[in-house]
Amino acid sequence: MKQATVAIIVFTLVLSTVGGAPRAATEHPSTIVFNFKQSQEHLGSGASLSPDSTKIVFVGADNALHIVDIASHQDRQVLRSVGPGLDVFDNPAFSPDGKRLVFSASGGTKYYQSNIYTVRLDGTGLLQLTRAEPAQGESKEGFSEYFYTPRYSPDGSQILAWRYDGILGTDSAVTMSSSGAGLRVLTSGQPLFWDNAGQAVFVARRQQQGTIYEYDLVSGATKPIQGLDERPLGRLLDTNTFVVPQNGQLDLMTVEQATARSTQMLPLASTIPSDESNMTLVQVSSDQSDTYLLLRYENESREVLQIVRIR
Amino acid sequence: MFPAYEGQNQNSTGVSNTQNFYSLDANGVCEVGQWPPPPSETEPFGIVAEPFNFTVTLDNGDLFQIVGSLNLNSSGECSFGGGWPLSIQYVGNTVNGGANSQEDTVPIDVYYNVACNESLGGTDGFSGSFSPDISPGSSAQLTWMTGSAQNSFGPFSAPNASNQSGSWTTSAGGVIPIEGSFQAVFGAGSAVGSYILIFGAQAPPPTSPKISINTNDNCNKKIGIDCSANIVLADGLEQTVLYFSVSPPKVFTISSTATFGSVASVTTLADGDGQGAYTPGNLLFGDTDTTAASVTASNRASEAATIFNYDGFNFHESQVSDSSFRDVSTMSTSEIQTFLSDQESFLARFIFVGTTQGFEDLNGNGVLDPGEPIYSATGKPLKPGAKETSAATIIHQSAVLHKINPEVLIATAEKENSLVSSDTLPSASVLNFGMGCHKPNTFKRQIACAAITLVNRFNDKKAFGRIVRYPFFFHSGDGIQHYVTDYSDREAVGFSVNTAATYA
Repeated sequence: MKQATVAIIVFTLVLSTVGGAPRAATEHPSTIVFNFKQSQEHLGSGASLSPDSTKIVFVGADNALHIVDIASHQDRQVLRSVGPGLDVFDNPAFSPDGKRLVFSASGGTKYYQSNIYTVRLDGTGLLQLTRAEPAQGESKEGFSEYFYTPRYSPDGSQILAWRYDGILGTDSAVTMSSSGAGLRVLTSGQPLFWDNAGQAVFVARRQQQGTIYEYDLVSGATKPIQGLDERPLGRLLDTNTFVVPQNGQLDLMTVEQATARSTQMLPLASTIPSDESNMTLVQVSSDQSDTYLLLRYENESREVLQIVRIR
Repeated sequence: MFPAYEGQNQNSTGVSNTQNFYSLDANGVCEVGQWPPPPSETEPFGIVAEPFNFTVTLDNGDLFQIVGSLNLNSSGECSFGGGWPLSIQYVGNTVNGGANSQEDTVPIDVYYNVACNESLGGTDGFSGSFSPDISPGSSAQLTWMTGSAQNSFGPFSAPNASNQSGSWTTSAGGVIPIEGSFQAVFGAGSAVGSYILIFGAQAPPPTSPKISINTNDNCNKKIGIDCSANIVLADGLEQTVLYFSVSPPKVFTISSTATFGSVASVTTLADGDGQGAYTPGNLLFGDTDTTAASVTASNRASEAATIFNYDGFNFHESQVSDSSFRDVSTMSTSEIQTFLSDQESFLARFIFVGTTQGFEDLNGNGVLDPGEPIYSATGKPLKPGAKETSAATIIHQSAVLHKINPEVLIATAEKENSLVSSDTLPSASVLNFGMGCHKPNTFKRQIACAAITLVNRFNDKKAFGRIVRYPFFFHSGDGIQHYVTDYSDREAVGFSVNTAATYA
C-alpha cells in the first residue's frame, strides 16, 4: 500500500476586504493545520470534517475510508473494499451526531452499481441504503440509476443524495430516511446541500446554465438563487453561507430569501492552484470562534487536502 | 414371499461366526465379497444384509443397473434362511443413449459358504416379475446348487411372474457351498427403464429421472476444478464442460440437443453425476450478435443449461498484448489528431476549456466563435474567444501521465459511447459520462478516470476475494453481465481471461 504524505505547514493568511461587504475587513491569523498530498491512483475521493471539527474522513491512497484525528494526526482505516462493487468509495460525510459516516460506493465504472451506505466510525454496522436496478432494454448497459454524494440532514433523520438516471442521463435530488426507507425524488438537478433548518435543499441544474435553486421540502416550490453564479464548493455548517470560488479566492456568500450576498472574501490564492476550477470540494465547519475550512483540490496527478483554521 | 433359501439342522454344533462368507458375481465380475467366499463358522450369527448397487455394461454397449441386497439370517445352530432381492434395469446404451435394448443376457451368481456340523435339509426356490415395458422375448431362470443337490427354476418368460420351490438335502455336515446361478434375459426392444425383479425386490426408481444440466458458471470446485466457463467464442473450436446430474441418482445415458452448437451424449455414474462437452456453433466474426444456446436432454425431461456464444469481438482475449497495453509511445499527439480526423470524429475538432467546458471548433481557428457547439459539464455558459487544449492533447497527456497506450483510451471512448465514430458534438450528459467511468462529472475527468481505472485493473492483484492469476476465471456470481442478442436482457456470465490486458 502506498503511504500518503502528511505534513504540518503553519503560516498566516490575511483576510482581505471586500467592497460593500457587511463584515468589517479585519486580519485574522489563519493556519493550515492539516496538509495531505497523495498521488491519485484511485477513483474514490472526497473528505469531510466531523461536526466538532476534530476529525476528518477521507478516501485514502489505498482507496479505503480513513479517519484522521486533526490534533494527533492519528490515521485509522474505517472500511476497505468490502466486496465487488463496493471498492470505490466517494464523498464520505459524518452524521450530525458524529457516530456514523455516509458515503457512496461503486465498482468504478458504469457496469457496477453505485449506492449509498452508512457505517459506524469503527467500520461496523455497514448498511446499504439504496439498490440500483439494472438498465432494461436492448441498447442499454449498466444500471438504470446510480446514487452519489449523500449528505445527512441537519437533524440526522434524512439523507440527501444525487440520483443519476443511467438511461436518460438526467440528474435528480432524492431523499431517504437514515435507514434508507422512503426514497423520494424531490426535483431535477444535482443536490448540493441542505439548508440550515433542514426544510429545503439546494440543487444545481445543468440544463439551466448551472443555476442554483432552492427546493422547499414542505411546499415543493423551487426558487432560483439570485446572485449565485458559480456552483458553491461548500457551506458553513450552521448558516446558509456558501463558499464560492472567485478569481482564485473564496467568496463566502450568505443566502437569505433566495438571494446570495457576499459576506467575506478569503484570499487563499497562495494555497489554491491558479485554476480554481480544479478545486472540487470545500467543506466548512465552525467551532465557536474558529472557522475550519477543508479544502480539497486535484489535478490529474495528485490530490491535496488542507484544513485551514481561521481565528 | 418365497425365501431364496432356507435350511435347518437338528443336531448342530455351533461355533463363532465370521463375515463375508457370501459373494455375488455379475457378468463375470465379482461385485460383492470375494469369489469363492470363505466359509462361515457354525455358531448362529443373526442377521446379515449387504446392499449393493452397480452397473454392468455388455459388449454391445447396453447398460444395466443392478440394485439389491444379499441377506442371510441365522436364528439358531445350523438354522438359517436368506435371499438376494434385486432389480436389474436396462438404463440405455452407452453409445446410442436412449435406444431400446438389444438381445441381452445378464448372468448373476451368488455364493453362500455356510458351515454346519450336521447334515442339512431345506427348500429353495425362485420368485420374480417383469416390468410391463419389457420386451416379450425376456425371461429369467435360476439354478440352485446346494452341495451336490441341484434345483432349476425356469426359464420363465415375460410377462408371467413365477413363484416356485424345490427341496434339497445334503448327505453330510461341514462347509456347504450354496450357489445360485441366475440369468436375466432382456429381449431385443426392451425399453429404457424396463426391469426384472427377483425375490421381492422393490421396483427401481422411476424410469423418467429428473435431469439437470449445468455449466460451472460459479466455478464450484465440488463440481469441477477446471472452472469451465459458460461463455464461449463461437468459432466452433472451443468447448465448455457441461455437468449432468440425474435425480434420483442412477446410471443413465443422456442424449442432449443444443439450440446452437452440439453436445455429446453422456452416461452418468451410479451417483447420478456425469460430464459432457458442449461445442458452440459458428458466428461470423464481426457480427456483433450474441447467441445463447440452450442445452436440454432429448431422451428425458430436463432443466436446461444456457451457454453464451460470442464472436462480434473476441470476448476472451484482447487484441492488445500486456506489453503494448502500457506502451505510451504508440501514438503521438499529432498521430492521435490525424487518426481522429481520418475517422471524421468530432474529437478531431474538440477543444477543452478548463476542466468543465469545451467546444467544437468548426472553423479550425482554435477559438470559440459564435454559433459553434459548446460543451459545459455544469451548464455554465462559455464565452466566445475561449481557447485551450485539443482533445488529442488531453488524450495523449492522460496516456503519458498514467502510462497507458493511448490506443486503449481511444478504443474505450468508442466502446463506451461511440465517441470516435460520432461526427457531431454529443450532449453534455453523454460526455459527462463519456467513458462510463466512476460517476458523471466532466469529459476531461472521464478520460483521466478511464486511464486510472484501466491501469488499476491491469495491476490488480486480487479481485472478488481471489488472487488474480492468469488465466483468471470470472464466476457468474461475480456479477459480470453481458447483453445477449434477442435474449432476455443481460446475463451474468462466467468466463476466463488469459492476460492482464484482457482483464483490464
